[in-house]
Amino acid sequence: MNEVESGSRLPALEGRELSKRYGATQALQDVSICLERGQVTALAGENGAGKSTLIRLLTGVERADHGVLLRDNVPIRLHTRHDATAAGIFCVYQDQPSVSGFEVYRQTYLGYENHFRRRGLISDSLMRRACSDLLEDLGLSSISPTQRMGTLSPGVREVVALAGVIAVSQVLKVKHPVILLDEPTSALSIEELDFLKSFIELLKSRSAMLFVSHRVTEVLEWADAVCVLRDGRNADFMTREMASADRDRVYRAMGGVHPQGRDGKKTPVDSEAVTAAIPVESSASPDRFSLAGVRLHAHALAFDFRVRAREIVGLAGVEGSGKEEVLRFCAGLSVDGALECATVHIDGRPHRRRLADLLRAGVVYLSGERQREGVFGRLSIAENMAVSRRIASGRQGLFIRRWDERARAERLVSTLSIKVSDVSAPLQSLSGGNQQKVLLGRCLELKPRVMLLDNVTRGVDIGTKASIYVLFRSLAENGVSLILASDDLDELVSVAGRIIVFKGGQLVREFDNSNGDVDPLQILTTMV
Amino acid sequence: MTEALRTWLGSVLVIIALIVVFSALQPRFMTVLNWQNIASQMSVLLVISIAGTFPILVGSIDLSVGSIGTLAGIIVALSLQRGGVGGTLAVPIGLLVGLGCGLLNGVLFAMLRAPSFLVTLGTFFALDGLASWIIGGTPIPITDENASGVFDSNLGAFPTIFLWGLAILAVAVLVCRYTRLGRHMYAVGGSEPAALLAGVNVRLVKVTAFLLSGLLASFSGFLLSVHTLSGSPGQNATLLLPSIGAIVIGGTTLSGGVGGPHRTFVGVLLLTILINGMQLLAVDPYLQLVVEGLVVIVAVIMSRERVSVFTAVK
Repeated sequence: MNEVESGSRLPALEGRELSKRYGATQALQDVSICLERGQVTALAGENGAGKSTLIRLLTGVERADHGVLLRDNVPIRLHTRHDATAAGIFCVYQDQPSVSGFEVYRQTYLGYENHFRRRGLISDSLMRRACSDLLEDLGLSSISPTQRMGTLSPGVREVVALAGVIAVSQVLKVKHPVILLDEPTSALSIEELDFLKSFIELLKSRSAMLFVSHRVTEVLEWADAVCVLRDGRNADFMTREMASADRDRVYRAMGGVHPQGRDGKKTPVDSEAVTAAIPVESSASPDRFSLAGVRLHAHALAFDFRVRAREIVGLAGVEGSGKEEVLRFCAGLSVDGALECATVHIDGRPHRRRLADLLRAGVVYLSGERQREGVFGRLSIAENMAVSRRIASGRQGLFIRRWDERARAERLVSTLSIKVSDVSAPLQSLSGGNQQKVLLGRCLELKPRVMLLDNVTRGVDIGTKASIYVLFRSLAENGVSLILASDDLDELVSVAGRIIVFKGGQLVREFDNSNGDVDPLQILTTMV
Repeated sequence: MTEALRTWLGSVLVIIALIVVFSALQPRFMTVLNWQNIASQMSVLLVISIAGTFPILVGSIDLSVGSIGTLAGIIVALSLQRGGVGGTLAVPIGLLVGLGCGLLNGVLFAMLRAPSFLVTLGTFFALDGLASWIIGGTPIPITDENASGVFDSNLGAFPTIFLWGLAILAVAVLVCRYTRLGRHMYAVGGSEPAALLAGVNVRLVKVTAFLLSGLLASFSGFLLSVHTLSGSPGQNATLLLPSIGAIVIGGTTLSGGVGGPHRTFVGVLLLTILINGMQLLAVDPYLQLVVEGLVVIVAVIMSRERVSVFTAVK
């Protein structure tokens, strides 16, 4: 403790100018970070800012294209996760997997049983004793080494996982482990947060810690220093004092407006293709789609959700805010923990909140998990577009007319300007952006009245994005209601006429963007 | 070129190679009589393999095809033995049995959401036991000659049993390529969540795949009974593993969504020619099994259907 407070820098893990590229995406560009012993560093940034990539590089899951890693000022190379563990670098994930049937001590020493042998055989009693000593040493005597993991609450499990890091570093004789906490707080209740916080305080003197979080308030409370990433680059670095003196500085860094250029212009997505936002119809017009009393989990406040015809509504919120769940709920899918609300009104008429019924009523959902929940990679482009056809009328017929399917697909391909030579090519042969357009084509084949779109433009290049926005506007003009959940605030402010912000499963704020004058920074501050 | 297509092309090349090698080594191989023999030998395997292709296409598996065949074959033999109304209705009765078993599998699997591997492992044992129990373990001879006249004689140069197999193949290919049901089977096998969100009735598609499987499995049992002129305990059970082998050799992947009956045909042809050729060359029967096993393994390697240990880990 004393050596820390003396003010001397003790870099435990340092990354210098780390870069990582995935295909066409530059995930990280010359990012540097330094974790000091005795300190908690927070890693902040929006979705897609590069936080997870950085964690993957620091834990050896992936290797940087450029840049060096230094552990205690010595350069190291991490080829695998095991290399990282051997170097005393550990990561605790937000929902750290554990074997629910295992006792705490078995989980703690899982993979290190060989260090607890008596006459050549693994000894449970040695492990149990070591574990109980450790828990006592860490002030966790309330946790019994023989409790089963499955019986513990998420907060306690997280603390046990952290204690396990200390246990393993003792076994491996690592004096000062580096602990990376990936969103440790997102699933915890307030009491659990306090427990975790005090435990982190306790561990601080023996380790260097990095924790990833979306919640700025937390970042300021817990961390000694804050490192902000934006678009894969270092956006800002500040000490706790600097950050608490100027709270907005964190927001600004996350939102991409650098403190020096306070009034820097927000960059529109494509000013030519996307002009003013869609005007909101007068409130007298009837609701196209409405759901009353939605509650995403038992502790959340209920909210009503209404969308008018011709309206484009944007849903904003950080990861875990519930915006994606709202979409799934509206589509008639079951959402874990959400309280059932059985009826959806479409143009004033009640419908059962069931996927099949809503599809027939023209409610189309396009999942954000394109590969898992959208694409049939090995089926052809034409087949992918045709699969939902005529579901609304219920007259799908027994036989397929392949030539008809082909002709329709070719028409859609030219309407949506999809770059493809032959509609009988398998969908997996297309780029992500074009795959997404094919899926939009499938939605159009359903003759949609309400479109629920989850991060449609994620991983899509700028040009395609612009043409997708044009499509949205013309759909809205033709009477379709669009609900977009997006992590891209610039996108929301330029496309949506109304933006609803979610946080912790609740609706927290609604912005009227009918004049297109909402500032993304304003939205960001209500999100975090 | 996709991996499955490569497997399929590979199998065709292997078939050509086999024909060349066997013709060179054994003059009796390339005769009309032997090819009639091959055609007739492959028919029952072809029908039961097509049956098994449907559940595999939707990403499941039906291990009970052999048992369903046995049960249907025995019930058909019993009906024919009785004669009269039972005799004329033998075929429909057998097929109804198959549909019933398929429905049982489908309902247990799709409605109760039990894994198909386990459900059909259960019905595999249960139906096989039921079949043996019905006849007390002794084979039922078939003396009725009408059935063999229609299903197991020659039409010109072609064995009728083979023509029946081809007819089933044609219908199966039609279902897969030109009906909405077929398309939806590929969608469900390709990605179940995506199919669900696209509005496909996933459960119905799965149940139908098992219905088709049961129906065709019972037909294969019927063909075998007519061919051997008896309904015997466990008669179709030995065909289960060769049928899965044939499906995989053809290029229908066990993960679902790729392949189809037309490919299964190639797999069946390959296996049958291989066995026939080895028999003509008087290869030791035990060694034949070793060769068959190796061929299946090679086919799996060529289709690259391997699961990475690391895909499950974050």
